[in-house]
Amino acid sequence: MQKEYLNYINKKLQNKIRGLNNFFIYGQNINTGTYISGLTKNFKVKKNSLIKNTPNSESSLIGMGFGIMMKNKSAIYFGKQLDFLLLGVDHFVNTLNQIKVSRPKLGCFTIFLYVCDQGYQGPQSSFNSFSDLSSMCGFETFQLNTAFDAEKIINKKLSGKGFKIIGISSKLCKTKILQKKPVMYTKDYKIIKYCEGNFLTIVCFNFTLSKAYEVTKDLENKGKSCDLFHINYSNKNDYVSIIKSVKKTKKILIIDDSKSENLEGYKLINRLKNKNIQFKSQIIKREKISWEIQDDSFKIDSKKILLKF
Amino acid sequence: MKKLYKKILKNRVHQLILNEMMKKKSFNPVHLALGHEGFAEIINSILNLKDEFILTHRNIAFNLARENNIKKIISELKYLPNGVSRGEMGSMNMINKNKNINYSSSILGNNFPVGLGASIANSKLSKENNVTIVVTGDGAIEEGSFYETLILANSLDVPLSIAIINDNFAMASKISERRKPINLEKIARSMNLKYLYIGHGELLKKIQSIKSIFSYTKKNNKLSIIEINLETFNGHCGPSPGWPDDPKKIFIDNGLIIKNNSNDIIFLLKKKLGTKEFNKLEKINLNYAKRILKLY
Repeated sequence: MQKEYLNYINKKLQNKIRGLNNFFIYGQNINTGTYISGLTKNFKVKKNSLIKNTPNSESSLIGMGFGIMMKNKSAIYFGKQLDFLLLGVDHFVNTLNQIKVSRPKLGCFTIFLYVCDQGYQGPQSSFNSFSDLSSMCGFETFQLNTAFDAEKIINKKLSGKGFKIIGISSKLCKTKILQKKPVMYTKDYKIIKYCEGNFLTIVCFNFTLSKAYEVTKDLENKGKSCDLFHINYSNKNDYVSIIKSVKKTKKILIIDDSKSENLEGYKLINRLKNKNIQFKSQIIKREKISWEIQDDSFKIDSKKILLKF
Repeated sequence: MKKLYKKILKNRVHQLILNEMMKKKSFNPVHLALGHEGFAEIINSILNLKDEFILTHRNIAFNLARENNIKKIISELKYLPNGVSRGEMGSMNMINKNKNINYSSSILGNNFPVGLGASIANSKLSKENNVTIVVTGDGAIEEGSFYETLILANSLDVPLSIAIINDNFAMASKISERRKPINLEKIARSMNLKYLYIGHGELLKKIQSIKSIFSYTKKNNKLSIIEINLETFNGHCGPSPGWPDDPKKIFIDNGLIIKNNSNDIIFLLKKKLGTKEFNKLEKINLNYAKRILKLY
């Protein structure tokens, strides 16, 4: 039976958190009020771990997590909205960089975020780009798009050593979670390949996989099978599997719903050009960034894609 | 007590050595802390090796107090592998893991929450029963992270102590040149926090009070604030005298005392030790400085 995205992720988190030893789990409304729109409800921890509802001090909540990680201990901060995360940017650059250079035995610090991308909510709520975050100091970011992501990333990365940010998308919360199993993935879950084909290479960023999968199925029904990838982060530009795919299909479609002018897809296309590969390309992105009042929906038309390629 | 006084004198001579070396451009500019020696050495003498230090870019007095080996400090400033941080952190971010100085931040206010995190790791996720001290200045309390960390640390019950060195000097300006006064005692009282005020020249009289506040913090897992008023004798960064219009004139040949009043802890030590004893110790320290300076 297909399960609802948010419930599915919440259950996976409950199971994982119940088994964690010696963790400091914290955030605003984490065990009271809305439970971060249901993301953190019914969390239970072992006696040697703590779950703490905190004041609204995002910058310091983030710095505090780095302090815990630096001491070889473990922390998970659950929060809502990437916009508020911007209050802690100093730590993503300066604190993390200093910790990296000083090379202590690292504990775990994970920020788990509910990304508010469900639609236009005013000019302020506009930051949703994980690639922008990842590029700041070369850390891992993960966007949970599928049941596979929820299973693997929560199990392997949530409590893993080092710093990383994991996000879920509010626009997906009431939808059925995509159950598609990957055909290939890198060991660190940086790149996950969900479909295989010869017609077109489709590369998704951020929270676009569900829509891209629909397009892939549409094209497949028309006899055009595609390679479909999701990239969680790409701080080292290691696109080997995608380069191989484009060499085969000679076409690439990049889909990114980030409200950013600095899309990772541009770098990917440049990388392909530097490899002297002849290919056609298209980027489906937001035409307007949301400092203007706008329709915030993100539409993809498979007919137009077929015409282009 | 005499041992502590000797350590304070040594901290001063070490900083004067670094000042002379900076004049010769032996390494990149350092944020010296001439005038902070007494506070650094007293804190170091009260806290033990398990207690943790979280510092700022102006960390040199504390690094010298904890390490007491000028050669390792100089190596760090020269980015050599035998430095206290393997020559990787340099001046502003100098740490010394062997002495539990685990973080020094050059970003104003950045070290408050990191220190809080370290304190949580020590007290909640292991049972180390130590104090984490975050040392910073009057400029950093203007950052939002100061207020945030007070609220958080107070809510989380951790053995954290925040030491504010109020030298009326931050980012090359006096407090009156950038803001209205902040009454830290009232802020502390509003949150029911323990607070200790140390006025100019009062440091040697307040050693017992500093011991008591750390003891309270450690015993009760409670945040405390220490505010010390002192004078920094050097400029913001680099040697004194530095650029042509630098009004600060500090030369090791003039001896260990920089200012002939109670703002200078070394002046106070001369009174405590007596002129004869002080002159003897000063001579020993200056000869030691000559030997060190010859090495480089």
